[in-house]
Parts: sequence; C-alpha cells; structure tokens
Amino acid sequence: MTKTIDTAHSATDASDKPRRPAPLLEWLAATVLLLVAVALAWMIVVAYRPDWLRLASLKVEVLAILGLLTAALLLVSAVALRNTRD
Amino acid sequence: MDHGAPLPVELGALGPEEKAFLVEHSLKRPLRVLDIWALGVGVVITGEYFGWNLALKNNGPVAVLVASLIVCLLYLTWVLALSELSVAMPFAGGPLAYGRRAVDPSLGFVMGWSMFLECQFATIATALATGGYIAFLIDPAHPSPMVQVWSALATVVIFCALQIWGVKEQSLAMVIMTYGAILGLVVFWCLAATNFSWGRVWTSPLLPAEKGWRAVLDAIPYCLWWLVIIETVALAAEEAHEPHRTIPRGLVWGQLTLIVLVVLTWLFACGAMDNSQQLAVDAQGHDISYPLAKVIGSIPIGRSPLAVYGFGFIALFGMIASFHGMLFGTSRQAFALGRGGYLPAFLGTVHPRRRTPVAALASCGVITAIFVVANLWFSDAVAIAVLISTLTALVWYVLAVGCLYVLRQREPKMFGNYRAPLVRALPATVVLLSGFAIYVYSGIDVKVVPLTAFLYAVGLSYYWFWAHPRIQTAAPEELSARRARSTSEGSP
Repeated sequence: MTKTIDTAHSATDASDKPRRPAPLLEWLAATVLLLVAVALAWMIVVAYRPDWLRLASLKVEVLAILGLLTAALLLVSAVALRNTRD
Repeated sequence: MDHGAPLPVELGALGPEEKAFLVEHSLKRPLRVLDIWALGVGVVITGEYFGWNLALKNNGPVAVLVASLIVCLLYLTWVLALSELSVAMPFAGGPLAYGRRAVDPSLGFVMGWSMFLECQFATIATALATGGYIAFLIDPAHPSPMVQVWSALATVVIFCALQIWGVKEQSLAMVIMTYGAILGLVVFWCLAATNFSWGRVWTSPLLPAEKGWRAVLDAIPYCLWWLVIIETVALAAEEAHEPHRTIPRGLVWGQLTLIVLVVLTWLFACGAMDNSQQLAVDAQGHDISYPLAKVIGSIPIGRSPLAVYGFGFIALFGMIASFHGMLFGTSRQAFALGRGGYLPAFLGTVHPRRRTPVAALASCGVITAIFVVANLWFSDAVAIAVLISTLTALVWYVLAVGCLYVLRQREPKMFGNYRAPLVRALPATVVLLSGFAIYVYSGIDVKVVPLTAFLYAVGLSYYWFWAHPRIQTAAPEELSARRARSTSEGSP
C-alpha cells in the first residue's frame, strides 16, 4: 500500500482553482487598507498628543474612522468571497 | 484499522519505523465546509457572550465599536493569510509546521507554544465563564463562586469525554451547538431591543473626555476576544476533506458570520443598558463574566423569569460550543507538539481504534481544571486568561505572516492549491494590525506582559534543555520540512 499526499507540490484540478478577483476591486481594497494604516498611526498620535492633527470635530473624526473601517471590511470581504468561488 | 488521513510523504520512500510511526499517529479526515464553518463560528462565538464587555470599562460604547471594527479587519485579513498556510501545510500542528518549515525547529516551537498558550488560556476563560452563566442561572441576584467552579469542572469532564469519543461525533455536536449559540444571540437581540435607545450607543461625548482616542487603544486588547481562536480551524486541516476547498470557504464564511454577530451584539447590549459601565463591573467592582444575561436581568422584560432563564439556558450553547472548539484546538496543538517531540511524547499518542489524541485531551482538561479551581482565590482570573490568550495569539500571527513571506519566496509551488487575494497588502495588514494591537497592551491596567513572558521562558527552557535533541524525525511536520529541504538542495 502506498498512500501519498504531496503537501508541498500537489497538482490542482483546474476546476478547483479560485477565481481571480477583479483588479479594480483588489486595487480599491489595497488602497483602503493603506488608508487604514495611516488612520491607525494618526490615532496613536492624537491619543497621546490630543492637540495635534485634529479634524473639525470629534464627531467628524469618529465618523471618518468608522466609514474607513467599514469600507475596508466590505471591500476585503468582497475580494475574499470572489476568491473562494469555483 | 481506519487510517483515513493522507500522509505528508510517499510511504514507499520511508523506512519501516517511520512508516509505522505515521500510520500509528494519523487522524481521520471527515470534516467538510459546514463542519469548518461550524468549528470557526462555534469556537469563537463565546467572544460574543463574555470578555468583550470588559472593554467598556472607562471607555464607552463608541470606543468599543471602533476597536471592534479594527479587530474585525485584523481577523478578516488574518483568516485569509492563514488559509493559504494551512492549505499548503495541512497538519494538526499548524503554526509548529509553518515555523519548522520556514525557518527551523526553534521557530516552530515558539509558534506552536504560542498557540498552545492561546488556546489553553482561552479554554480556561471559557470554562470559567460557562460556570459563571450557570451560577447566574441558579441565583441571578448572587451568583455563587462555588457553583461557578463546580459547573466549570463538570463542563471540562463532559467535553473531554466527548472529544475522546471521536472527531466526527464532536463535529456533529459542534454544528448543533453553533446553531444553538446563534439562536441564543438572536433571542438576546430580540429581548434587548425592547429597551433599546440610540442615545445610549451614540453617547455624548462620543469618547470619554479624559481619555479621548486613548479609549479606543485601551479597548482593543479586550475586543480581540470577540474573534480570537478562529485560527483553531487551521489545526483541523489535517482532518479536513479536500482542505484547499473546505478551509478557505469555511473560514471566510465563518469570519463574515462572526462580524455580523459582533456588531449586532455590541449594538443591542450597549443600547439596552442605561449605563454601559454596568456591563463591565458589578456593584462590588468585580469583572462580570455573564454580560448578556446581566443585560436581560437589568431591563424591564427581564422581570419575567421565562426571559432570564430561557435566555440563560440557550446562552449555555454558546459557551459550551466555544469550549468544545477551544478544547479541540488546545488538545491538537499539544498532540502535535508531543508527536514532534517538542513536548513529552505521551501527548502525541492516539487511541488505537478511535484515532483521537486521548493523552493530549486529558492533559489539557487537567490543566484547565487546576486553573478553574484557582479562580476561587484570584478574582480577576477571567480578565488575565483573556489577555494572555489574545497576546500570545498576536505573537504567532506576526510570526506566521513572516513564515508566509519566507515560504512564498523559497517554495512558491507550495501554494499552488490556494492563494489568498491581495497578495502583498493582506499579510502586511495582518502584521500592521497585530503590531498595533501588541503595542496597546502597554497601556492597559491589567499587567499580563510579565506573566506571558514567564510562560514563554518556561516553554523555551524545556525546549532548549530537554526536547531539542529529542525531536521526532518521523512526525509529519518534520518529514515535510526535511523533504522540502532535500528537494531544494537537490535542485540545480
């Protein structure tokens, strides 16, 4: 009896390959993730230097951050779901 | 004898002792997409029932929402990166295999030990919270610590026995309990909606005046508990049917389900209580481990015993579903470390007929029981267990992404079966968000960094002074790494 699984180099049936996400969707998702990174850096700055780099009001800041995080979640979800379809 | 698990190398290329070792240490492969989804959601859903509420302490609901969305983004990107690794290396060892193959056994041990600590402390916290919910059900006004401890111990015994019985049977139980846990949350949302007010959620000021945006940073370590442990699913890859299909689909759908549960649970819990601080600590200043039951008991509809006891009973599904999955993760990690010789070898043995890791399960159960009893003398045990679990998780997330980068460069064909989307941005986001979350641990009140460092020192001492020269060369993770090395050395 010879049981085999090649975890490093096993061949894949073409029908099993995930569909490639749309380039525009991927580009948008990557851009929003970059903006999230900038937002986190800003958050650390204003957490310890409350007078620096503030927007019009706290409400605007909170809404902007929530909007950015929601957009990132939606875009990455869309990309991920396309990627797992046959 | 049923040896359903495909093995990581051609048996014909091995010596008789290595063949015998692999055959004797193999697991079944019965898990499909629904099982993986249920394992992912079920193991994490306890995060909706307790732990996250401690983030409300001095921070408020808006800070918790922002922190929660940051954590959701971290985990969404993390499960995609993890899918790529676990499909390429479908071993019960998970992080042990990644570190072993990408760098060397030392990194494999550090990553495996990190996940073992993550799962073990999550199991302890969940056992305690399960006991807390049961104690609340028995006496909502004055939950007894003794009832909490005995209930937690009973939970440990029952679910160790169930998992020793067999993985397919526990998988079916997991699916049923996961549905029950989601039903429990739906019941909670409906009951809490009867006392809901937007003004309690969208507070004025939005963030505490004295803390500002620091409130968001302080909330993050506790909000990690919403979703931590979903990576347990990666350990099921060795037991998954067609892992390149089942693991990514099950993980992504599980993660999206959980994000919806997180937002709705936060919304209704905070919107129903007059003061969200009451969800974090009780009148005596003790941390609350049954926040959703506390909400129901505090609103007008909770005057009906049917609402309190009905919800409390269903909520137990959430707790035990997660406990079940966490015990799975802890035992599989201990099994893989034992099988590889990184921890005592008896942990790597399986039952000759049922193919379940009996010794690893029993050991994890005993460790959990000891900490559960210790809770009688340490009142903030739940908070400490939650924070150690999340901190050790973050450590291996960063290391795992490092392994992904190394292996993509060195062995690109390895990822032929599945590639995660956003090839560069996604792993970078995991590292960035994990690093951000690790950074904020320095600012929180409960100091867990020294205790976590001590646990790493214990593990590394064992590895360096005892296990290092005794690593089992026939373990699947070792054979996989050896084969990759010999292939790369043999290639022009």
